[in-house]
Amino acid sequence: MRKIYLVAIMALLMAVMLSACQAPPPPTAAEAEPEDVTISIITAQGPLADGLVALIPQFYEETGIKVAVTPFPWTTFFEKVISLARTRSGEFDIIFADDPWMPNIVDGGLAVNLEEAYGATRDPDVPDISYDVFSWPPPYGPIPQDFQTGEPSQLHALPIQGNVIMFYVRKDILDERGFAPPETWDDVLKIAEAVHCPDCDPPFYGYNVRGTAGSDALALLWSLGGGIFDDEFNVILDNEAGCAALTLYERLSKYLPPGGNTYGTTEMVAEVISGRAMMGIGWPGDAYAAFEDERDSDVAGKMHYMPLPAASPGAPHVSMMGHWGLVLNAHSKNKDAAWKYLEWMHYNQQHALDYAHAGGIPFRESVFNDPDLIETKPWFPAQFEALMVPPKWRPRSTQATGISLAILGPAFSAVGAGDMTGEEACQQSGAEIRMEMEGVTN
Amino acid sequence: MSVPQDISPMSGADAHRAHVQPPAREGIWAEIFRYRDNRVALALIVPSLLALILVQLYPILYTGWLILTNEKGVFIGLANLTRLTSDTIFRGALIFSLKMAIVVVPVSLLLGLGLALLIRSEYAGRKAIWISILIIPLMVSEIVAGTMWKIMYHPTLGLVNVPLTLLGLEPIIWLMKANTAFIALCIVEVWRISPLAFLLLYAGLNQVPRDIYEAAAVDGATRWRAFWDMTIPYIRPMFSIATILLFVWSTRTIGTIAATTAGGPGRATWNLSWYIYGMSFQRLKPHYASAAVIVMLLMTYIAGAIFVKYLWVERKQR
Repeated sequence: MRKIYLVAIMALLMAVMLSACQAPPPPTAAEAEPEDVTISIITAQGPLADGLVALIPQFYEETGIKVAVTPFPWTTFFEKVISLARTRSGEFDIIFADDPWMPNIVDGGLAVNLEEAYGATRDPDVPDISYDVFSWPPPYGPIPQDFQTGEPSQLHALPIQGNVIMFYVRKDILDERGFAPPETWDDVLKIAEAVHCPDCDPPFYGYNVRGTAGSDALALLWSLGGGIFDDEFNVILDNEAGCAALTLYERLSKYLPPGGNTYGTTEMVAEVISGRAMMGIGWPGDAYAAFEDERDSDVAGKMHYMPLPAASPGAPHVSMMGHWGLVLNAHSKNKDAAWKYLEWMHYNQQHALDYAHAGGIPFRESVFNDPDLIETKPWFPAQFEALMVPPKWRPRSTQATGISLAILGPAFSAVGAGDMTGEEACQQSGAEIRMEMEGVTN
Repeated sequence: MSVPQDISPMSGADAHRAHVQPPAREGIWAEIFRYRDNRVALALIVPSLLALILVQLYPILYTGWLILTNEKGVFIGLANLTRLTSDTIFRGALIFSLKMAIVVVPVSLLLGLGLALLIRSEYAGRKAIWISILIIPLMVSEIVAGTMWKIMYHPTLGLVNVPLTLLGLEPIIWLMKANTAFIALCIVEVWRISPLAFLLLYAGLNQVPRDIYEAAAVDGATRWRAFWDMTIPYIRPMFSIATILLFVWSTRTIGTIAATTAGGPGRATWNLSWYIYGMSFQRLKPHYASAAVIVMLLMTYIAGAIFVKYLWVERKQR
């Protein structure tokens, strides 16, 4: 009897524990009714999420589909996307993804081919490159072996945020000192040298940077005509143009704020809005709204925004893309409702305008040049100009994010600290990327 | 009077002997099942034990599988482990982790012990208030602590440089160079984990009977003598536990590094956790990263075994 009693207790406890681990029941027929569908979107925290959240009530009113937005901390968002791919998870119906992650997303089987499944098309109000960056296989540029499938390049996400990295400079000081906005990086060096005054009270620094950011190093690389891979996917970072980029940074680092090589976005922005930094590279989405915020910024209305300076007079002002697009998760149980959301957000000009008013960055020409928006976001026309150059996108390899964060970022930081010359950093990074890509075919 | 079956038929002395002298190997389970209390206890802990085994065993076995295969799932034997031996970045991270532990653990232990002695003394006043204040760093997440210290280390705006500038010295750019960044990180870690040492050692000190000090005083022992010969032996087990925990905490830290130096300048402040995180989630080589995980586990295990052997067991021999 006692044995039965003990066995019964154990069985009960195990049943309780197992039931706690059980997956939730599948939706019933009633739950699957379109009007009761809730689509879930994962995005990064900040303006990206703010824009989406602001438009939820309007979308619900027009379609009856509920939307749940889950903003994720930026620092761990990429990990989350990788985990979704590794586990083939349908936890989120839509992934609001950064364009360099497309290789990981498509390779991980997360993205629905939107042209094939829903007949997605290109809108003439959106620059072609904003579609190209979300097309798969990549329509041009270096393509790793596994992605050379011969299939037609088709849309696997729709752009919602047309971000491009840009250059900012203090217009008031340029005017005061009689300088024109820098056309080339040589001009940047001249201006930085002229205005740099670390011993002034308050100090003023000729150049500003996110000193650990591999993406800033990449932007320099593109603007000087360098690259990471050639068309056959051979590493070319350590060629002449690549080494010139890191050597340029070595020279610019003399004009950084003390400890600038350890700066992230927060510190970089703090130096600018406190009026202590002249110029630098920055993502508009992260920084420029803070520069122009009159409540906290000493430099609101005093900034000039432009595409990155050129390698030489007359050369193109090549920037770097950082578009964000909506990916329809291939494992979603609500694909049709999710597609409705993508259509609603992407193909309607008014919704795109509302999104930009709510804090997002435009992706349509008409929104970039909207006069009302330009009043509060004066960098939008220059950003569109940068987009039309066109800018470069990061390599279409699953290893691109790792190369940027774990190889170029540390090299950039070491050069900024003066621990390594630009030449040493480019040679070392080139060798490390070659090792990184050994045996990698995607 | 008959003895109920569920009640131990042994006397208290017998039961004590049964505990002191373990039963023959084949009789362990019979011995356990003989007593009702044991059976009930077993029934209650078995579900948790099974869950624990599942939760712990699966990741360990999975990590083992990852090590033996590459990112494409092909069996490669011990290649991931042998590759680590020639990986200079891994070696740098391993050395950095050990260097940091060598500095942070003893300093935190000494600080924790000093604070514990101070709070236990008659000078401390309201102990509960002091304890509540001292353990605040334990309640702060690594990222928050790192962010706070990063602001404090700011060359011109940070508080850390204020005393230096007041003394007319040049402010130190703490996070810019490898050496100062190492010191800066050690300070953050000591701030963060010394309260753990304090709590454990304070608990240990409270187990030392006060009357032995009175007896020692009667015998003419100095305070130092009493501390060395009576306090230390009493708290030695707790000391060894604190050492192990501090070692583990200081070597596995990642949030502090992420928020203060982000591993820089260059890779000067990459520890093993940062290396494993980067290899797994940035460079997308979880199989290779798993080999580093095993090295980290082994390092912790060996260090723990050494601490137990020389700090804890030694007390039994005295």
